[in-house]
Amino acid sequence: MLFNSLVFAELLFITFVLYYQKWLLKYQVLILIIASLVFYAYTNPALLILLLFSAGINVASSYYVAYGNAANRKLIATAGVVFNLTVLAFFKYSPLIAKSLFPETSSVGEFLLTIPLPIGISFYTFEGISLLVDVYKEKKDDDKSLANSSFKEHAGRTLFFISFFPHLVSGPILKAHDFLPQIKAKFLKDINWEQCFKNLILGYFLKMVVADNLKDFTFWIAFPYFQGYTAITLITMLFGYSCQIFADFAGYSLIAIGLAQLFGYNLINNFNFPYISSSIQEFWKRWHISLSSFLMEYLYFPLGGNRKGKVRTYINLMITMFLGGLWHGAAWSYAIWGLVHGSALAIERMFKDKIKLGSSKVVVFFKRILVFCLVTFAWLFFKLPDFSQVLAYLETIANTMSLTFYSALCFNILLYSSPVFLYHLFYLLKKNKKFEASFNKYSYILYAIMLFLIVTNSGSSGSFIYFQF
Amino acid sequence: MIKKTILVFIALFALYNCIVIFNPNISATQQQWQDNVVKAEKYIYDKSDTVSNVILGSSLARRIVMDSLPHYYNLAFAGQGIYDGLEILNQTKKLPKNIFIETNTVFTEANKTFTDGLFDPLTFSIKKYCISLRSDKQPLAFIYPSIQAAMHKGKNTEETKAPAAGQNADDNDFFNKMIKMQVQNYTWTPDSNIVNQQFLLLTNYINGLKSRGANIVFFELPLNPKIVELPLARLIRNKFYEHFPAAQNNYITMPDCSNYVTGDGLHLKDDEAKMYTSYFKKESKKYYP
Repeated sequence: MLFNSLVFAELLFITFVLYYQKWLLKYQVLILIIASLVFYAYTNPALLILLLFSAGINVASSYYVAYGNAANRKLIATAGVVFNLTVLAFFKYSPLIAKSLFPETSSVGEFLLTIPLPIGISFYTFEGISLLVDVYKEKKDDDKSLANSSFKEHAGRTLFFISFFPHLVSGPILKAHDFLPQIKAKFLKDINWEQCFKNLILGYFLKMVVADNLKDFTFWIAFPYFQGYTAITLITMLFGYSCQIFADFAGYSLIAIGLAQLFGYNLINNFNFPYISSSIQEFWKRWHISLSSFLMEYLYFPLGGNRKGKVRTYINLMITMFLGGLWHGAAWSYAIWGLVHGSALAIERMFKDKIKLGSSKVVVFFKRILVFCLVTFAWLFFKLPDFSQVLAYLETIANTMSLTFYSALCFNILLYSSPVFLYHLFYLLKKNKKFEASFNKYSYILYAIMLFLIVTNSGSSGSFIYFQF
Repeated sequence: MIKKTILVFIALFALYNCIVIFNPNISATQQQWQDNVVKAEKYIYDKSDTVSNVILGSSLARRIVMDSLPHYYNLAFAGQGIYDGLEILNQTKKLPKNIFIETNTVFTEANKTFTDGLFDPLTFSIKKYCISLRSDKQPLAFIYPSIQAAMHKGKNTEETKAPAAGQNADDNDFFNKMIKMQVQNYTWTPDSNIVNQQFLLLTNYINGLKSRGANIVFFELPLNPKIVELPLARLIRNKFYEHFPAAQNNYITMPDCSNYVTGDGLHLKDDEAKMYTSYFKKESKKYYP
């Protein structure tokens, strides 16, 4: 079910009305669980079985970790993490394993290719891991547990944590220690309406006006169409895609945050103006924050982080980004995308202390441009998951250097990308108190324009790019 | 803040509605998908009661030059197939008298997002009465044509949207690559179950249209000579004659392909499209003068 569909609006309305009924107060979690399961099962009810099975294993194992035999806690926690990773590997990476390890005619390969990719699996398996690790760590550290002592209560809370519909299919990836303590009775009077409204308007604007329109212009990046274009158009399309993927995912995250706020829950802010980053390290602190912090907390640090010498740090960065890349999709080009970022992070760290460029505005400006260009170039691996097509795209750019370009296509890409640039620019300008005061005073005009464009100028409805991950 | 936002929104929306109501003929599109939606919406809301000849097809039939065919409406969609046009006819109350169906791309499946979007119960009714919400009235779509018009002293130039596949294929290298790829694509044929399922679906559609009194004419657009006799093209052609025998159905046969180079192996170039349109016009008159 898409956030921008009528059927979702109906589900949301019914859920919201029931949720805040006084006589249903003690069933609030149950109401959200039922709404979330309807939301998830709407297009393919069969997928619900896997979600419930995965949640069931996580409920049982986390409960055992919290209240079971102390000698087996580590073993059960490890088994639970392995289970989550196995589910993810089986459903997500079977096609990649089939293509990489088995010949086309092999029956095993054919079977692996038929395994469906359940929507949201990358998100809810990671949340399962977070639950197990957090429960295990807390139990071990200070004898407090995120797991409720009543198994029934724990099962309901865990299922709610994993399935809560705003984040279920595309994140933000929740951490158990952030979310579970928020579960309590919620009241209508506590809703911050203005914040919800702003998040929803901005989120829907970024998704429906910016990303959904850009999608139809950047469509031509696909093979073989790009071969009919010249360098300037190809480069413009790539920058357009960079804005599209931001608007799509940041838009989704803002909608998710706004929706969760309607029910009294705060989700992690997933994007913090990533395209103003002046280093790749900063980019990853601002882009898909819930994933990068998850990888840092549950992978990079356990690998040793930067505590085991320089070479080991570089290797840890590469491993983390390689796996982070593969998390996005079952194709080697995603892994290469991760390696490009991993290499950039390692090189940056290598030269951080050796080259001092200063921090003047001009230097920071050029660093930002450089980082944006590098990040944009790397998105090519997202758009063209076949590595040979990426090479062909770059070859076409190199072979068609001229001043000719499709003015309408380029103009429209710039037009629909401009809100992304303005969004970042306003953030920078808001550091000036005077500007911030006037911006806040008149921001309602901007929100009204965004609402007007959502109603009159939305693009064709498309799935969120991150649904496939 | 919320109240102020909503008030400004209402003012903006009312103002824009006034502009559209007083200039109902303003229309602009920016890209292929929008172009398809606009074409479908114009048919559904404005033309379906009056048009007597409709062409259904893919991006191939989209090239037919409609200026030469004033009593025809082209419901051929770039990047899509004949089933979307068939579905539109199925869901509109009044059928055109004559329906011309392209036979080249029968395996392109229906785009459910496209037709669901057109006939969504809520938006369908709203767009019917509130024309400012139709796809050709998107405010940002007018910016580029306006700038162009201003730059060309009032003369609006043609290039307002992304070129369709093969449309700008003047580059020899690109042409050769595309031909090579199309030869590869047309050498392959789908599984016979898929072929039969597809033709069963098509037969159901055609029978439905015939039972509602429409006359059906099939036509095949010329392809590059290197492609026209490849297995896939032949399979589709033979299957059409098998399911819809020429003795009981009307066909506009394909002209001599040696006169058509095409832009990418499949799509006619502008001059070729004009040439084919003349042929189509002449041949269609044989059936429905």
